[in-house]
Amino acid sequence: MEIRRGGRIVMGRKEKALLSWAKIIVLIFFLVSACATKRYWGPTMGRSADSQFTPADALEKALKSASFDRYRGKTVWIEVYSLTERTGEDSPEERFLRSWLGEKLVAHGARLANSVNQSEILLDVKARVFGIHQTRRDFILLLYIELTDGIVDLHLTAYEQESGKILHTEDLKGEAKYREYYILYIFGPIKSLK
Amino acid sequence: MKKILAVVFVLLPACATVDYTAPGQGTSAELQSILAKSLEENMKEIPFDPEGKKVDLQVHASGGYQNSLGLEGYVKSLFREWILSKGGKLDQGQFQMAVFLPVLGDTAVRRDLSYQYIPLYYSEKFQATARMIVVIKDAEGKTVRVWQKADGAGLSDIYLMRIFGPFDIPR
Repeated sequence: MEIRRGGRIVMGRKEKALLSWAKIIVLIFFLVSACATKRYWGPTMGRSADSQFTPADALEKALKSASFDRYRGKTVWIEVYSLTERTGEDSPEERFLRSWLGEKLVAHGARLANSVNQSEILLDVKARVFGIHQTRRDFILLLYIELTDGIVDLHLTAYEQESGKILHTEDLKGEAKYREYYILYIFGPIKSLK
Repeated sequence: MKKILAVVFVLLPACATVDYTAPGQGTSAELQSILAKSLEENMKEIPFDPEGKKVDLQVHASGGYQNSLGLEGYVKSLFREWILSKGGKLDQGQFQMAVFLPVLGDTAVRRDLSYQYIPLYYSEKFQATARMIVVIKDAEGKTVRVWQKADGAGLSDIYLMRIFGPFDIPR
């Protein structure tokens, strides 16, 4: 209802409330049409960054409990096997694992052999899992989350090269959880890595 | 009642989806896990004791993505550890063990159950199929034993109302 005060039109309480609601509705309509979506076009974009750094972080966590000190002063040859895809003999995961484990062993005082015959210890690494699991969660209108879990499950067997005897075995597991949150499908990403 | 309706209104449009866009994401972690489990499970029942025996090991696989080299290497590594841990030796001259893997792969099934457009149940189920044949021959090349096993691990991710979950149900 309009109220005239000194020639001016002043809105009543009802009109003010209606105007507030109208503003909220316009804002909601504006926000509702927002849509943030993480895009990935494989294979031309290469392997996605999330798919690379989450297993790498999970590997780092898995290796924290490894006992590499036992290889100090020994010459080691590393062989890595996994069920990951490949075009040649080794998959990218296997090459990365071999190099990274090599660096870790050297840092703990081991030496890397140039060939299997020159080694004292053959370290056989079976990667039961070296990859990611990805899930998308939509709480429509309110929240959208991309969840990427990097998972690593390794089984290490150390053989004495000369006799072929098993010296020891070790299981190493690690998981890295990466989350990207988008609020109202437009604000974000708010990132979290555990 | 209004609060319940408000909660239902918020919950119903929720949506959880397992994403897998190969090859850019690499081989799925769950797929690798169930394939590795299937191989290890199948190996538990091999009716051959390698203790004190020299075994010449060969692996032949037809599966694997793009080529079977990775799978063959992985299985050979599993059998090497198995033979040596049982007290055997990898060498020629006494027994020949040929491991064939004609099948090692998986299927993925998605299930959606909804009532009047209300999503009640959504699941992604991975099921591995692994067939392993082990042929053991003596030094003269005579077949001593042929053993086969077809057992595959499975894994289900279950979501209720597309919001609660995932509940992992491994087999």
